[in-house]
Amino acid sequence: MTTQLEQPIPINTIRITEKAASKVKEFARSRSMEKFGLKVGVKGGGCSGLTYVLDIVSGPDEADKVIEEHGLELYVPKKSFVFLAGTLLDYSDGLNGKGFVFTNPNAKKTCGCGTSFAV
Amino acid sequence: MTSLAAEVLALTSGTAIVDRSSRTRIVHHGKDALDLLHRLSTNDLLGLGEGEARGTIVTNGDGRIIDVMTVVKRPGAPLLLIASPGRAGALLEWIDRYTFEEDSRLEDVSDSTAQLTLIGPESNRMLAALFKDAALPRGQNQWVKADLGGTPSEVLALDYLGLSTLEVIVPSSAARGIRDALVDAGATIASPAAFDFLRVRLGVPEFDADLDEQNNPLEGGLASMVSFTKGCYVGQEVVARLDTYDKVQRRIVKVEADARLEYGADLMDGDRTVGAVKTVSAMPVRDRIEALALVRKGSWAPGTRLTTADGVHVNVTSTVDVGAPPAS
Repeated sequence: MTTQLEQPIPINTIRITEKAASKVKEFARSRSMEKFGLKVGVKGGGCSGLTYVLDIVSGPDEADKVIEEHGLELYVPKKSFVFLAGTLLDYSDGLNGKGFVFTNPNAKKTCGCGTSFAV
Repeated sequence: MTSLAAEVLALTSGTAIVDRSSRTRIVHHGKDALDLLHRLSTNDLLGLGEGEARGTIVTNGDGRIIDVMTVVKRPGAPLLLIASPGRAGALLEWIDRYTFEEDSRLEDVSDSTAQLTLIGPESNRMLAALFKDAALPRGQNQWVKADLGGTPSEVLALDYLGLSTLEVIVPSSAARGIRDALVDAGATIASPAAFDFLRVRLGVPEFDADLDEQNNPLEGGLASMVSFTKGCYVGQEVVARLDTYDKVQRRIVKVEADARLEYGADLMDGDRTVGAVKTVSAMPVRDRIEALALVRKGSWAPGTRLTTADGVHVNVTSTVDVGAPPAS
């Protein structure tokens, strides 16, 4: 099950739920990473045009926007931020869980598997 | 024998040179170039070997064609992309739109290079005899860097949808010298009309002449450039659905007529407009004019009798579905 925030997310940021942040920290621990953050971006391609990219990295790149929430830093590349502004990143587990889930107000359509979107 | 007939003879039984320098040639730099194109086009490009060429179609999110192009993976050099004439701007803009963090840079070399297309069963032998020390491709869809009489060149043996050619790519300044040497050795310069004659005979559509951004790959009979197993690319869901549910509503066909056909003429099935004439061959075959046409479902079956508004009788002879089996 995914989380819905009570207030809309401002367009100058992206948000992550506590559950998703915990999951990221869990992955980082499994890789013995002590200093880390979550790179959140998009790349071209994917059936709807754009695909979400997640990666646990040791630090931000120079042009990344840095956002901190639930003790986790998010690093969003400048060109990706336009497409992710106002997005909520959650984690869906359980038998029917989808893993990391993006709720993106910019996405006008998504593909059947949910990993690709168009603006 | 007319000049066109002589050119066609060279194309089919000798060596003809068609100057296709107007085609778009782009050098795609960066270690992420191939992966990026793989995500933006229909064919499996990640499996491309060193020195190998493969056709692919850049599609938009609606599965419609941006352009049809050949991707060449050159050993020790950036990718070479060969696309339709006048499409450099559209391709550069489209690929750049989908470039984020990738190491990728596009360079339009269309004006600084020339492309001489050699067609005909004697092409290989003539090129090898003329430039004895040059390494030439050993098989279809293979590229080599060659020294053609002191001119640094690239030679690509292409099987483009069933049309076999040798593409000789040289600096623009060297094109005339290479062409003249081939003519002195017995090659015939063939006009675009002669090339179109062969294209129509073989049922090979071209972007802009026969297809445009309103068409999807399956309408163009280009399934050989579409991988249905590689996973996501822009427009993939639409193309896959069209194929799975047999939803293609129109397609390129070969037609023949008993009188002159005009490019763009409407085709009627009874009183319904069902299509339009595309490339028309400039030379009749057995007194019949051959052409490619885009025709709606229900009227595209071979043997269907259509007419133009002028009353010219047009028969559908075959659907277009050409090329080698898909890469994957």
